[in-house]
Amino acid sequence: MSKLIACYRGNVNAWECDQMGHMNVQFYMSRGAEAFGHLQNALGLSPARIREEKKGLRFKSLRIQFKAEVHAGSALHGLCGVREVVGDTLHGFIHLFDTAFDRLSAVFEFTAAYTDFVSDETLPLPADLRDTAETLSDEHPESYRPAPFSGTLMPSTALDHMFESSRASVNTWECDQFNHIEMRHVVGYFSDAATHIIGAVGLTRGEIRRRNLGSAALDYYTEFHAPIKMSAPIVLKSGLISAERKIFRFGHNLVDLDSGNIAVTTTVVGCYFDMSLRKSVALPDEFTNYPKEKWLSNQF
Amino acid sequence: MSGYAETYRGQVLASECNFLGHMNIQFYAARVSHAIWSMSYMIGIPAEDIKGGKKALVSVRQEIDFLGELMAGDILHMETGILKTTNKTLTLHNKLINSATGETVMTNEMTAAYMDVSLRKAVPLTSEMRANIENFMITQEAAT
Repeated sequence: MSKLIACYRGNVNAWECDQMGHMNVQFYMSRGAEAFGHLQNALGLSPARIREEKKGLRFKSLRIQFKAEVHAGSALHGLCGVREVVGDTLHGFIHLFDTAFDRLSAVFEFTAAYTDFVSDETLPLPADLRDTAETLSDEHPESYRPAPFSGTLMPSTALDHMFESSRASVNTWECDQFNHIEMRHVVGYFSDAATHIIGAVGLTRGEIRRRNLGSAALDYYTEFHAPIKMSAPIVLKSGLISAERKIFRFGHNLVDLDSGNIAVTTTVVGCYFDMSLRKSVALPDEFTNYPKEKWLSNQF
Repeated sequence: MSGYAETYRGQVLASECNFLGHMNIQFYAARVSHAIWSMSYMIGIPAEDIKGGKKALVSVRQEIDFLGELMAGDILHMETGILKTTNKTLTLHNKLINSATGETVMTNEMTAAYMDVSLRKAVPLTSEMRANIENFMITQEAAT
């Protein structure tokens, strides 16, 4: 008997698609976050219990692999499951499908910990939650599981040659009921950074358009070090890790300026594609000509 | 005749809740929009017609009963069945359900026309659509 859990069904709105003509990464994340609510409920953490106890699961790490574009009007559905419980950490996944073509569009592989949403302390898994999670645990050999993330991960430290790629304060409408920023908006900051990144290597949006190019994220690996709360002033620092042939790698540190702490660290793997053919192409010369001595990978 | 199918599943965001502490009515309508879209695929409108903006089900009449509150964080899903059809329309019955409690929090009866977007006019349902619609037909009794 399958231990997969139905966790999302809906469609892609036109206003969720970006200048590349496909659903923006932050809206994949919004589906993933909603799906996570259904997974928690299946584990015994109903929305009412979470509201009452002000405790629930929070991502510690999150890998998002983008497998196929979806566009305005695409129908989506999601399935999720628990892989295993290791100590007090739950390992699980969410798969988002392009329903009409029964095609996997995005994969979320995550670790999560039981957390007090008021104090932000990580807590041991409650016995009932552990029991249910262990009952639901399965390797799910029938389901896709990505290979380990390729290459070195961005460290959660400030590095030379990182530049500011986004700056904001966290608004109320970006937060959940516990006044923490919702995951969609974290990814939204990474998305906003993309334009500043192309500027940092010497390109402009106009030039990208002239060449009929688009950029796409292929793989994200994110580690969450601290929560980001309502009204927090934040800055995103980014840098090029490497750029070779068709693949660029960027590192992001999202900094909470109130504390000075790095709250989120992300490694992004991406590519450029021909907007007409929707096929990947060699990186623009500006990327491959970017001085290698500035690559963050030199400091890892 | 087999009945309702799932047409939406998601969660209530804090940003969708108003000063009364519950989800604002405009966001119920957003879920109904997802449901119509899902049903468009289920009855066989081709994906290229939907995504290409060529053909669509468009709402021409709705009647909504709000039966229960939804709070930030609540998980929900929609079940949709088809009550009746005419030459160019179908009448859907949507039930929005709190997935954690099983409570039906909204019902919505909607008449939707099959629209040729290039003509901006309702056109007859195709025979293929009619065959698929049979899979989702429900009785008025089932909808009450």
